[in-house]
Amino acid sequence: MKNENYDIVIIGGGPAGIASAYAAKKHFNHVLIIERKDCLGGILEQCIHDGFGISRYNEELSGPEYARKEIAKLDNIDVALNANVYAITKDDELIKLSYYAPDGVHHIVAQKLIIATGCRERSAKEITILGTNPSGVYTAGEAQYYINIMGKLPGKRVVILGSGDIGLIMARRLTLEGAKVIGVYEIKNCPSGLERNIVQCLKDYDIPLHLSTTISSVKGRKKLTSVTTVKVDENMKHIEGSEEEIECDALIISAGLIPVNDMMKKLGLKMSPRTKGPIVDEHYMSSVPNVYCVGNALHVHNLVDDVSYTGERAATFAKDNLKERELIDVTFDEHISYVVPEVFDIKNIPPLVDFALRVKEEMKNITLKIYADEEVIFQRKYVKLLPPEMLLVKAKIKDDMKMKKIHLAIEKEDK
Amino acid sequence: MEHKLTCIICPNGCELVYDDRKDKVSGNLCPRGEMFAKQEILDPHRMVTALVKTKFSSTPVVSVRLNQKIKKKDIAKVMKAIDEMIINKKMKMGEVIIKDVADLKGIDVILTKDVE
Repeated sequence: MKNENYDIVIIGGGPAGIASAYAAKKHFNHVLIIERKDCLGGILEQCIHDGFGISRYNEELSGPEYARKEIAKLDNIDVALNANVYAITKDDELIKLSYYAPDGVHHIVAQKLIIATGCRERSAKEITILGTNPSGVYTAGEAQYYINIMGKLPGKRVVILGSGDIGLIMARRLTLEGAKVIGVYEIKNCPSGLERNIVQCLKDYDIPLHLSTTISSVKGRKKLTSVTTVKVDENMKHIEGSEEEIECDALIISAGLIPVNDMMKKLGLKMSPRTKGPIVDEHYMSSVPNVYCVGNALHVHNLVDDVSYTGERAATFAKDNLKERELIDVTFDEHISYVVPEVFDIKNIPPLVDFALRVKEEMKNITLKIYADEEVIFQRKYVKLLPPEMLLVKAKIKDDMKMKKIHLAIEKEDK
Repeated sequence: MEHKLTCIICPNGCELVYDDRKDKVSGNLCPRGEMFAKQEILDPHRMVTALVKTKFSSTPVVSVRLNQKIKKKDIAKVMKAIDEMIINKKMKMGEVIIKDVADLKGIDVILTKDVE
C-alpha cells in the first residue's frame, strides 16, 4: 500500500483547523486537512447569529460569514472531506494515520500533527433525568441544526435545561421563529452563559431564568408531554415539595461542552482532568512530541476568534524543531479553576506566551499576575471576572530569560 | 436618575451605569460602551438574524441578517416580512433579498450563505 507524505496534517476542518492550515502553509509545503463532514467550517455553518469576528475582523459577523472569510485564506492546501480517521499511531519520529473517504482508504505519514477536532455537547444521557424516554428531547446544538439547517421547529412549547450560551441563543431563535420558550432552568446559582447573552437572548424577550432549579423527570410515552422542575439547595440536592410539572413538547439541554478526545486517547496523550482536553505546553504541544492540540479540542473557548488564534499559534510553533523538552507544571492559586498551558517547557521558551484561564467564582476589582520565579511577567486589572468568561492573555518573555517556576495569581486590590 | 445595564457590544459585558442628569456613562472599558448605554436608554437597537425559506430541497432555509441594527420595537414586523419571503433562485452570500424591509428606509435583509 502506498503512503502519502505530508509535512503537517490537521484533523478537523472547523475554525481551529482552518486557521492551523493557513498558518502552517507559511512554513510547510505539504499541508493536509482531514474533515469528517462534506464541507469546511465546522459548527459555524449552523451558528446563524451574529457576534463572530469582533476581535479578528472588527466586525460582527454571522457564523457562516466568519467561516467564509477564514476558508478564503486557504491556498494550495489539500483537503479530504467526508474523511474519517480510523487508525493513528506515532513512533519516535513520524505520525502514521489511515482514513477512509468516498474515494477509498488513504495511508498518511506526517512529520507533525495538529488535533482540531472541536468539542461535543454533554447529552441528556449524561445528566440524570428520570422518567420515560420520549422523543422531543434535544441538545441545544441538535435543536440549532434542526432549526437553522433543516428549517424545522423542534417544538411549540419549549423548556431549556442549562444556561450555556447555545441554549440562550436557541431560546431567542425559538422565540423569533414563533415557539413559546417557557423558561430556562439552571441547576447552579449563577448562569453558565455570558452576561450579554442573558441580556439580549432572555431579557429582551421576557424569557424567565430560574437559577438553582433543575429538571428531575420527563413524561410522555412516545412524545414528550411534560417535565417536572425541582429547586435545589446549596449542595445541589433536590428540595422536596418544590416540584412543578410543566407541559411542553420539547426539552432542550444546554449542559456544557467537552473536548472530543478519541484521537488523543488513541495516541496516548496525557489528559487533563480539569479541561478534559490534553495537557499541552506553551507551544500547544501535547505530551507526545510534534502532536499539537488547538481550539475547543484543547479546552472549551467562548469566542471563535480565540479558537482561530490558537490554531495559528500552534501551526507557527510547529515550524520549530525544538531542543529536548524540560517540562514543569504551571501553578495557580485557589481563585482559578484552570490554566492552559498546564505545563511549561523551560528549555524552549518563546518570546510570547498565551495563557487561557477561568476563575472559579465571580471576582471584582482584582489584578491577575503571572510570575516567572519571583518576577512579574504580566499583570492586568479587571473590574469584574465571571466563571463563564474565558480570559486569554499574552505575556512577553525577555530574551534568554531563565525560570524554574510559573505561577498565576489573582490579587485583590486594597481599597 | 442612574440606570444600570450590561453592555452587549462585545463579550466583555461591562456593567455600565448611565446617569441621565449628567448624561455620563461609567463602567465601560471602551467608547462603544458609552454609545451603547446612551442608545439603550433612549432607543434600544438590535441586530436581527433569521432564516428564509427556499424552494430547494437541498437547502430548505438559508440564513440572513440585516445590514444594520434596528429599533427593538421593529423586530416583530421585520421577522414577519422575512417569514413571508421564499427564495426561488440561486443566490450568493452578501446579496440583498429584501430592500427597505417592512418599509424601514435603508434597512436591507442580506444573505449570510449561498443558495445552492
